[in-house]
Amino acid sequence: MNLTIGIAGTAKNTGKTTTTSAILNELYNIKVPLGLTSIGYDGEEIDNITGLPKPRLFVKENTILAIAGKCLKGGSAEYEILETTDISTPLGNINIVRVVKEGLAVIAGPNKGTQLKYVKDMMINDLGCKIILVDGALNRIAPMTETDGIIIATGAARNTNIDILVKETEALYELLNLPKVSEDKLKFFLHADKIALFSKALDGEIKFLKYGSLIDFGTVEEIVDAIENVQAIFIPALISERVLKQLNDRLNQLWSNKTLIIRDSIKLIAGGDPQNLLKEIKRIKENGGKVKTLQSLPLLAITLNPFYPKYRFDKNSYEPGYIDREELLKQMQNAMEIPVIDIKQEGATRLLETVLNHSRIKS
Amino acid sequence: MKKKKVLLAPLDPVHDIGLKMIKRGLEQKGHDTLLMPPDHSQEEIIKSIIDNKVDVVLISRTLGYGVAEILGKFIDLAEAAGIRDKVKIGIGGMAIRPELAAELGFDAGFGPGTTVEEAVAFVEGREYKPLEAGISREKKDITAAYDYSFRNKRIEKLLDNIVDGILDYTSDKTTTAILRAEIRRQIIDSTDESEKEKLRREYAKYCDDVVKSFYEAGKYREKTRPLTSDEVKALGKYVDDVNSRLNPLTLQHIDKNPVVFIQYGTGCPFMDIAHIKSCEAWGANGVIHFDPSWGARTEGFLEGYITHEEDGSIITYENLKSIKESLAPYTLWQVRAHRGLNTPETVVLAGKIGADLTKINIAYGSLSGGTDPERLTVDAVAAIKYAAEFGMPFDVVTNEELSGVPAFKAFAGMLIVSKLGLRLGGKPILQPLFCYSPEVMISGQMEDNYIDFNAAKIYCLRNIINAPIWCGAPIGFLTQTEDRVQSSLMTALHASLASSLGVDAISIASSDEAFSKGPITAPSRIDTLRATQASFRFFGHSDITPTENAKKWAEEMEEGIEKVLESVVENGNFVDALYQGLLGSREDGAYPGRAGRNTVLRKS
Amino acid sequence: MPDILEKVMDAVDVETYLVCKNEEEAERFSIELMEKLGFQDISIVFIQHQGPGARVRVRGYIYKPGDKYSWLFDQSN
Repeated sequence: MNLTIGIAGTAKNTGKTTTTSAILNELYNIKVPLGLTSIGYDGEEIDNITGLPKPRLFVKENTILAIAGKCLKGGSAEYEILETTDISTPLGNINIVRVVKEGLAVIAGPNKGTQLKYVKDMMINDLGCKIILVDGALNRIAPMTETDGIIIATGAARNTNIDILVKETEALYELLNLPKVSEDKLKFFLHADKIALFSKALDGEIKFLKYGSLIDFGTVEEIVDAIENVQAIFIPALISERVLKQLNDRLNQLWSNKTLIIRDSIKLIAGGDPQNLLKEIKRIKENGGKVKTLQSLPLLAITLNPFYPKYRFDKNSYEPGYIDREELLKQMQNAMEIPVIDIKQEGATRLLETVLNHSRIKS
Repeated sequence: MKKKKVLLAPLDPVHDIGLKMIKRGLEQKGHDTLLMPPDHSQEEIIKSIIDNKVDVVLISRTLGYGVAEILGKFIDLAEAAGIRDKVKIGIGGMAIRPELAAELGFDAGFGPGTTVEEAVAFVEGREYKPLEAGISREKKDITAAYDYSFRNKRIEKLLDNIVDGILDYTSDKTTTAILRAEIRRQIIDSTDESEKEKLRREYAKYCDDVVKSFYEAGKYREKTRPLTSDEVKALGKYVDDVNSRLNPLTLQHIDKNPVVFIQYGTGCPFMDIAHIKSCEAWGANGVIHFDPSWGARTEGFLEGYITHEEDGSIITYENLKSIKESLAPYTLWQVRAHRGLNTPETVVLAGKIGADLTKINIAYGSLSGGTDPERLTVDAVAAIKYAAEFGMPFDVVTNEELSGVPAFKAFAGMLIVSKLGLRLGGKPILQPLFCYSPEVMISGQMEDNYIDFNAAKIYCLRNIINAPIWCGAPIGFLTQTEDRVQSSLMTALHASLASSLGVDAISIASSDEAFSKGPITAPSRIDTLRATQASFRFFGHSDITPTENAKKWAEEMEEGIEKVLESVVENGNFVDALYQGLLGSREDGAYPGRAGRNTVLRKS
Repeated sequence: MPDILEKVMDAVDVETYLVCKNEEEAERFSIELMEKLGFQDISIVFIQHQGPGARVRVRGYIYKPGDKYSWLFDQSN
């Protein structure tokens, strides 16, 4: 068994790197063969925006990394280059390396899903990694479809209002935990790369539309025109919040007994604001419809950081600020049935247990 | 190469001129382009990518606010829409850096200063090689295009006659400077420290007391001191640091624009290097070593890393070497040997250390440079031979104009030394002054404009010989004031005049040229480089048209030169002609120098 | 109060050359320099970084249009 875990942050200073570091340390303790990459570039010593120091990842010997050429000399760790791939990034081609001397590393891995898959497969199949951590990049979520589950780091740096923060995180949780299409029905959808309208019988007539994504109003009209005889709508690619809302406005009760099937939740989350998207998903359900995904990408845990960089107008600089930690943890935990952890206070032990339970690997 | 379909899309409420320029660049290379209007939603851009089946997308984002969120989202949309693997996506804008582009998942990021060519290279999937590092960043041999044939055969004949006389006159003579040059060469070539010591003792015998006391008792001249090893080490590191981030600007706008030299000589080799690196960064093509005036009147050179508190940087092997090592590989380097008592040794040092050019002129050095005519004539013949041996072209400067010698007389001297250079296998470069010289202040040829008389000089020289021309030194001399704007403008206009006249090289001043109360500064150097660049840009291939006076004065000058040369031939001895004032008289303001008088030795 | 800065019509420009690694550093140094010199309303007018350093022109405004100009009231002008 192997497991690929994505770690995403909702904003700078929400503790994504702290979370990754803590998980790394736990994994080093239990000595699991480990791979580490990131979506893009992360690991600046100083946070570019706020000017506050930012921890970088400390990697130990034998860890396998995917790392762009220009970042090889960016930390104190030393590497043996196992392969220089054809994957090019603005910071040079991606190298697969093994850490030969422990130290701090600047991780900049491939930033496309397909490339992440290539790196991941290589780490697992050729280099024997059991766990692969994928460090997220701010504002990027799409490549996370290649992971088996994600951990989201959020906190006061995202929003200092606890209610808003909880609602927003809850929306992500709901969206990421949409029910899966049953295994026997998967075959009908896997190979469609355009929006497909399935008639009453799934193996019956299928109408394919022009686009794979729901991003324009023309497509909405086509769906509305054909809806009479449709049992399921499959959207293999992106779903835009704006256009989904348009579709809902047009269909309303026509959703009754119909199923919207999406490839994975990321195709939804990439298309808009999670809360608004959730609202649209709920509208479909309220009208008697269902929403399912082909591929599940569960939200495994939430890590919280009550810290935020507080802007001081008088000094024209940032200083540390905090929101009520207990309240934040309590409200967040009440809203979701997954572990909610203050990673700085608590460490990653419980987090890792949850993760390992999920994959059923125990060292 | 396959034709690419490129979508250019601004993620801004307004259109980015950069995208339009890139669009034009791509179309010139035969690619299909589509420019989206501004203010479209990200979904609309994604849809357009799908509809048009484009290969490459170039996004521009000028505004810095929220840039990471918006751009990250765009890449997520592209990936979720399933097109990320099919199209290359680049991002450009003021707030963009490669690190940010990487973080946001773009294939390339183009920040401020990106060229159209860079974006085209990205589209075509080529590695971008900046132009600066290629074509225009090669060292240019400004003599390459010239065969030195004479158009004025009468003048050529007169010159040959004079040169015969010079070679005959100097054939049985030598000087301590020539002896020192040979010993210096042996010191440099020797690897044996005890042999070097022996040679140094011998060297010291041919030096002035002040230099002797350095070699014998380790004494430094006043206002000079050795640099510490800490300073030398720190310099090495500084230069390495700077070189690692040096990506120089290009001054020239068109091929015809001349090579641009700057003079350095702050006194301290380290400050020189700091200035040189700055000038390189702002596009100077060459640098000229400017030594202190007392160096010209002292027999012998010192050794070691030595700094100096006044104008001019001391010539020692180590000083020159550290300057040479700090230069970018494409920077032309000239070490002047044109006057003074160490001319042959200067050329040996320059040649051994790898200078590209030197500077030799008997007439200027002996009439305005303070060196005895006979002494300098003998030294110069040896120096020119070294220059030829080391393959260093040398310019023949005519700064005696600044003492009041009229241009035609100064040119006569310049042509004699040039012909001498050619005879000895050297490659002379004519260096007329582009200045407001005392001659015209009196005779009024610049009352109306600064163009005609300078143009006349170039026309005149072109009528005589097919040789490279390097306007000096610095151009615009005596037209500049202490104000940086006026000063830079004067330099830039003279640079464009030189370019319009098709000359090969120019030496430019800093905007501190007219300031004499202290050392010149780095910003003042950048001022004139920027001004010159702007002026080249302004004129392009268009020319400055002199009035009819230019041609008329050129003819007068040519006649004047011929008359001067005739008088020298008539006199029968070039050295005597210098004493007699035929190439610049006391009335003109030229005085035969006294340094080194009666020091010429018979060859043993 | 004979503050010489009141004689400045509008602003003081500092023209210099800063040894630094990149433009961001040059910007930071420029502001720092002006703050050190005691200017409060600081603008970077021109900055160009190349290799060894940056050519900068930094401005400290003394008066902006609409301010009350001391030199207007100074009869010794």
